[in-house]
Amino acid sequence: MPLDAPDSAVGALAVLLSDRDLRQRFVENPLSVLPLWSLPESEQKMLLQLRADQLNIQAAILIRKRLREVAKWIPLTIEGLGADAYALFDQYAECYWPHTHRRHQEDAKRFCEHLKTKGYPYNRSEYNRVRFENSSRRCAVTYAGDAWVHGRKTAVLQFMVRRKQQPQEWRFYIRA
Amino acid sequence: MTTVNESNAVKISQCIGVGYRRPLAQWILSRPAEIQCLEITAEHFFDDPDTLQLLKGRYPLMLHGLGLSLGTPGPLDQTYLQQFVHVCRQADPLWVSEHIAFTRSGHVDLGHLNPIPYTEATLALMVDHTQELAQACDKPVILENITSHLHIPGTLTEPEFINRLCEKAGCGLLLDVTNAYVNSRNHNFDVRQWLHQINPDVIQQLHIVGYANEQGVFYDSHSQDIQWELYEFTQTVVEYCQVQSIIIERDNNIPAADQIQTEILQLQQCLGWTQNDAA
Repeated sequence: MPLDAPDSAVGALAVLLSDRDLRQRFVENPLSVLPLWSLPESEQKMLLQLRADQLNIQAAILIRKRLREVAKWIPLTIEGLGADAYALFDQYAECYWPHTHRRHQEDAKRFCEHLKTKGYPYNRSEYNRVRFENSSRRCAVTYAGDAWVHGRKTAVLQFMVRRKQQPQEWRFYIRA
Repeated sequence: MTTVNESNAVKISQCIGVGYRRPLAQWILSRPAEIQCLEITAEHFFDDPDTLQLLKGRYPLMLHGLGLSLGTPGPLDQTYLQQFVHVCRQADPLWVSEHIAFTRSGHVDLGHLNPIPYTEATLALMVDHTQELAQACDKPVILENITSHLHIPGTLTEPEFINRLCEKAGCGLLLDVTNAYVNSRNHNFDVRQWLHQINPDVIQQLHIVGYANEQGVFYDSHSQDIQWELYEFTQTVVEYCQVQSIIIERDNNIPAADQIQTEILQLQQCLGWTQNDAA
């Protein structure tokens, strides 16, 4: 029995909703998964009655809700990915679940890093901002060549300061 | 411990307000007459005490939590609870609210609300956690029904669970009319019959926002204008029980302030509430 094996129906649901491969195994043959967990018989019976389609929809909605929140922090990045945004986020989101009250900023930062690693485009000015939001730094100066100003891509220096815990940002445009 | 009944001492009635969101900050801070009460989300203020100070005193406040995960077996996350309590002390709300749900368990934090099994064991757990929250905050607690696409076969129905939870924990219900409606469409039940199984005395506050419908599946997207059937259902709820406040809970695709003002006025008109009725 793995050390972090769930010991309640809620724990089992959390694992099923967050782990696609395990969920697939459970849907195909629940009896191959249930013995991995130390659940009371009544809770095992309850889980055996779950509907596969509902389990998958609930899991998909969690990813959609995360993407919706992330899009508030990195809208240009998400827009730039176009129709691939959901699939790319889905691929990333299965492997990482943020866990602080700043989870949406953290998720946005991690997703940008995932895109960078995989060679997909992301907006540098947005990444700089969420990276600062997630740090404990009091100030930062960063460069981004892709800030959008009046509908045009513009190079900027971003000055970010944390005042009374709230990040503030000023952008200085660099004219070519 | 403060219970919902004690909260009647500071009772407000027939107040319509909004959930505080950053894009609406300027409008909310200008204190428009249409907003009679304000709901603030605890997690938004864990790192922002200054904005909280600006809001305090301008409106009757309600504090709403998203991540305490009252439905998770085991003790509440004490660090998270203390952050919640800290915001509560600063805001001094009329009451605090959370969800009949779980968001995390063990090492997995799903970040959003998920259903819990409606069983005796979960009921006992929710009662304990609700009482702990009320005691820690020294405020009345009300709990909200959620949407779920996943039906977990339990030993109690949702209304039975809600009624017994409110009775045993001494808490009230924050009835999300949109969530109830969305569930009724996805799980094919009559939402009015569902409502009439709930003890009317426990319903204290309502949430409302438009739903999304994609290929016949209904979602609590929090991104749409309020649909007419939700106004109608809200009317039914208000005829059924004494609601103290209604909060328009828009999170995404947030429109200009005048659209929200229109929704507040439509609610007032539809319910026969006037601004003078608000206390």
